[in-house]
This record gives sequence, structure tokens and C-alpha cells, in this order.
Amino acid sequence: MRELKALEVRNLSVYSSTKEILRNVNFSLGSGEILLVTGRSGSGKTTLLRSLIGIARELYGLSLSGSVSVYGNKISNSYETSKYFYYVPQEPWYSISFPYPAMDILFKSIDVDAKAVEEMAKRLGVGHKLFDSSINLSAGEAQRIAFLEALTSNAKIILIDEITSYLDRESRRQVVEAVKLASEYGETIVVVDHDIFSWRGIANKILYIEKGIATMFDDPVDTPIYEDFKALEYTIKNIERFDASTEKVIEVDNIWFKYPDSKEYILKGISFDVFSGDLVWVRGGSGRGKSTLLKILAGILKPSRGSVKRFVRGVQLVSENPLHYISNPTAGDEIGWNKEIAKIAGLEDALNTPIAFLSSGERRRLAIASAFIRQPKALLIDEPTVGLDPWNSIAVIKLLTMLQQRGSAIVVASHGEELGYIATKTLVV
Amino acid sequence: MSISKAFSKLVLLVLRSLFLYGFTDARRGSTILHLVFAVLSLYIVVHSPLASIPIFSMLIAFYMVFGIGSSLLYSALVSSIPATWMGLTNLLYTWINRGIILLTPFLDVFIRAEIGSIIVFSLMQNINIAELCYLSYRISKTFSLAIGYFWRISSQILKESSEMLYVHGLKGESSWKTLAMLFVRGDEIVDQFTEGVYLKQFSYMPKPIYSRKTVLVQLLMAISVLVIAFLF
Repeated sequence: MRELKALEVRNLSVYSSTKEILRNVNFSLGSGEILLVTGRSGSGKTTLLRSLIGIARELYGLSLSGSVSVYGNKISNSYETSKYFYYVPQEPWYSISFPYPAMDILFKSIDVDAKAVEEMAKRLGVGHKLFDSSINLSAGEAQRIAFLEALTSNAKIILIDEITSYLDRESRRQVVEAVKLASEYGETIVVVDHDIFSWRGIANKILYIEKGIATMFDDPVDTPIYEDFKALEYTIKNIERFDASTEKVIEVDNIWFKYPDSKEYILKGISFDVFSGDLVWVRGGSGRGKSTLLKILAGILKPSRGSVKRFVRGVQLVSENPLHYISNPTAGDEIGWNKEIAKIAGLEDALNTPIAFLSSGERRRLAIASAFIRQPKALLIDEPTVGLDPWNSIAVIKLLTMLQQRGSAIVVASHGEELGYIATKTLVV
Repeated sequence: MSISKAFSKLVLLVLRSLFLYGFTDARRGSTILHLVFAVLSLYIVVHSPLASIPIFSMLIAFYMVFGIGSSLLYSALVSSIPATWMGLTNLLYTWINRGIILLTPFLDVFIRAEIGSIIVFSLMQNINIAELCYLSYRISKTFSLAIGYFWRISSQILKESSEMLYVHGLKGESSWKTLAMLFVRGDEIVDQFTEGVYLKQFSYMPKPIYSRKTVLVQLLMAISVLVIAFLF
């Protein structure tokens, strides 16, 4: 008798009212197998996950044809899928639905083994965050808590969109190990990720999607995205580097910072100077205070001790959520219909698109393009390349170096190793 | 400081006054006892500003016992804005009508507004959301879910609004543009949470979480406030 597949997708096609998003996707996964879904931004990866769990139709009004079966049972709506699937969306904050993450984990119709949860949380490095306020979680912490919830949910199939995008190298390794361990316990896992290298030798199958057409591979380096990575590496290694001038823009003197609800300092004795034309790369693990440091430099937060001196007017901040920076109704309005910049940022086709309909990657590129046009004396950017494929990361890196060349001082908080090639200084927090 | 930056600071103050701490022991008491304390305290404060002193002292002790003093500080700061406004209005009224400046009516109004507002903040800061979700689940699953989501989404919107206002202030954008983008963002936050929690709704089952110490402290406070009600 043929063994029942944990997940079987047959001829799945997805359409919006105007175009075909996915065409005849076919794959199957056995119990305990890991599928890596990869491809360029906007290729249809997220739509695939949404289609598997029924929300593409129910929440986004898309039309679907083909079939999705779990252990031989065809499923057709979200109620049925909820019995088998656990889904973590691209922006991890939004899968934490209660004010405290512990409530998300405990408020289930199944019995949750509190000790096992605690143990797993420690393993993922978020043991101390379960009873914190959900709004105080960093992106990386939210991502790991969402994954922890998935592991404790009793779901047979876990779908995670952009699973490692907000994580530093060490947290990424922890998450990949946890995924591997879960698969050894029989969990079937589908991950969407641009970071194909972390999954080499871990994922059993690789589904590469390009313009809605999916192709199966055995090894991530056989996929076309590997070529994009090589292009990224080549570009950043050969990019022209610039030296900073002697004009001081920001002076950070021995700053310490703790949040009002905490007894511990998240930043301790940080000192550095930023000069015109500098590109300072702030790196460090998730939740170590990189974003907090940028907010202090911008003036949103005041340091508990020490001082920040800004010698110029016009310090701007592009925060982790790029929508906080954008202030116009369409991409074209935001960059003053500058087609040259739109081309560099890969936004030529999105100029007339309302902001609400831009993808997360498009918004990130738009915010940086918009900052480029405004030419601030100092630009602070949080995670400029997060969730971007190599091709789009190149566009962002080019914009940053062009801005640097024009004399702006740039401070970037990022996990992206590519920043190491263009940074004039590196600060580890 | 631009209008956007000033608003950003104000929103941050409100955010901290309501959602500063995590799921501390202070939040693991009884909703009923907490309500009894809050309603009786409000009744007493409205009728006798003098009685505010023991009630405020009790609140200070509560926040100290649970190590969440910063919450009280932020709520006192936020409360002082309308309390000062109301007190000054009263001062102006007596000056116009009687031609003299009297400090007593100002203090009378200010104290009642300030302490009354702090009591309401205390209810919001320390109500047991887990118990509230559990009790409301018995009436309606949707209602119960809505309570948790309300706390989560309102805090997220306040946090993002504060950041967006400040970032736009740095960018030099006009406040009306920021306001428009806040609507876009608010709408999107709701959509994103909908996607994130859509499947979870089917397996939702709240459980009450208590701390004996908190219930005991609340019981003592409720009895004390009853005694004060008889005394004043």
C-alpha cells in the first residue's frame, strides 16, 4: 500500500482578478520532511503558503484551482487546515496575538507542557521573554517566539515565511537546528527563505519559484538564486569604497540605556563618532539594542547616561518598518517621480502603486530611495536588507554607497554580512 | 520641537502609562476584587478629596510591592494634564465670578481628577487579562478573543504611531500627511494581525492565571477601602 504523504499539492494555480500568481504547482512531502521555498521577491512564495492554509481565498479574495491534501484528506477551507497547519507570517510580530507571548502559547485547546515550553524557549534564546510585553519584542525575538508557538501547537505541518530574515548568525543557527530537531520528531516543515546556505543539507527538497512557476531542486546551490548570490558577492566586493571626511556629524559619548520597565541596561558605555561620508555598521545579536541605539541617535529615546551630540540638522531615521518613513500615497509621489532612482531601486513598475499594496521588500527599497532623494546629512537605517533577495540587496547597497559618496553620514543596524564590505566602521553591540 | 515630535512624545507617554510592564504578578489577581476597589475608591475620591490620601497611599504601596513603580509615575504624569486643565478652569471661573483667586477649589478639583484618573489607570494596568478572557469566553468566544486582541492591537498602534510621528517630524513632513499615513498603517496592522491569528481562532481556549499573593493583597485593599468608605 502506498504511504500517505503528509502534504500533497497537485496542480495548484492561484489567480488574482488581473493576473496569474502561481501556475500548476506540484509537490509532496513525507512526514518529517523539510521543504525550502525560495525565489526572488514577488515571485509568489508567500502566496503559496497562504494558499495552502486557505487564507488566500478567504482573506485575500484570490481564486484557486488544484488540490491540497494532508495525509490523504483533501482540505478546502481554513477551519480544516487549522487542524493540521501552523502558520507564521512574514512579519513575525503579527502572529503574536496577545499582549504577552505566554498567553499565545498557553491559550490553546490542547494541554501545553509548561516545562517543555520553557526548555524549548531557552534553547531558542527567548526563555526570558515569554512574560514580557509583546510590543517590546525585537524582530528576532518575535520570530523565535512565533516558531516556539508553532512547535508547541501540535500542528502536523508548520509553515514559516521568511524564517531567518530578522536573525543574526547565531540565532539563525539555533532556529535551523530547532527545525531539524522538530522534523526528526515527525513534524513536516515548509520554510520560505532567501538564505539558501543555512538550509543546505537540512532541507530535503527545494522549491524554487520564479514568476509563479515552481521548479523542484535537491540542492539549494542548483537554484538560480545561487547565481544572484554570486552576483551580490561580486558587486559588493568590487564596489568602490569611500573614506569619511573629517567633518563630525554625530558624537556619541559613553551612552548607557535601560528601558523604564527594566532593571538591566541594554546598552552599556557606547562611544563613537560619525563623520560626513561615514558608513557605520552596527552589528550584534537579536535583542541586543541595535534598533534602540538608532532611536537614541535619532532622539526618539534619551540615554539613561552619557550624551549624543548632533552637529547637523536633518538627521533622518528609516526604522525597521519602512512604512514609518514613507509619507505619500504612492511610490511615485514619495520619490518625486524620479525615474532614475526608481530604476536603481527596482521600482519602475511600482510608481503608481498605492503604498498599501507594495510588498514588504518594495517598501524597504522605496524608503531608502526616498531618503536618498532627500539627501539627509545623517541617515540612520534599521535592517535595510532584511527579507530582500540578493538582487534587491544589491540595489539597496548601491543606493547606500551613492548616498555616502554625496557626503551623507550613514549608520546602519543590520544582521546582513554584506554591510561589512562597504562599512567604514563596524560597531558591535 | 515640531508638532509631530511633540505628539510623538505625548503618545509615548500614554503608551508607557498603559502598557509598560509585561505579565507581572500585579496582573494575576482577581478582576472582581480589582473592580470593587476601583469603583469604591472612585466613589470616595469624588465625594471627599481628603480621603484620596489613604487611597493614594494604598496604590503607592501596591505598586511598590509588585515593583512596577514606573507605571504609577507615568500614569500620574498623564493624569496631571487633564487634572491641571480642570483645576485651572475652576480657578478662572472663581476669579471671573468672585474676583479673587482661591487655591482651595483648584486643589479640590485637581486632586479629585488626578487621583480618580490614577485609579482608572491602575485598573487598566493591573487587570488580569487572562482571567478576563477566561470569564468572557463563557459568554462568547468572539468577545473573549476581542479582549486579547484589543490589548495587543491598541498597544501596537500606539507604539507605531509614536515612532511614525517622530520619524516624520525628522523628515520635516507636515502633520496632516503623518495623520493620513497613520490611518493607512492602522488599517494595515489590523490586516496583518488578521492574517497572523486567522488559524489560531479555531484552537483558542483561554486559561485563568492567578497569583495567591496578588489576590491576598487585593483582598486587603478592598477591605481597607470599605472601611475608608464608612469612615468618610
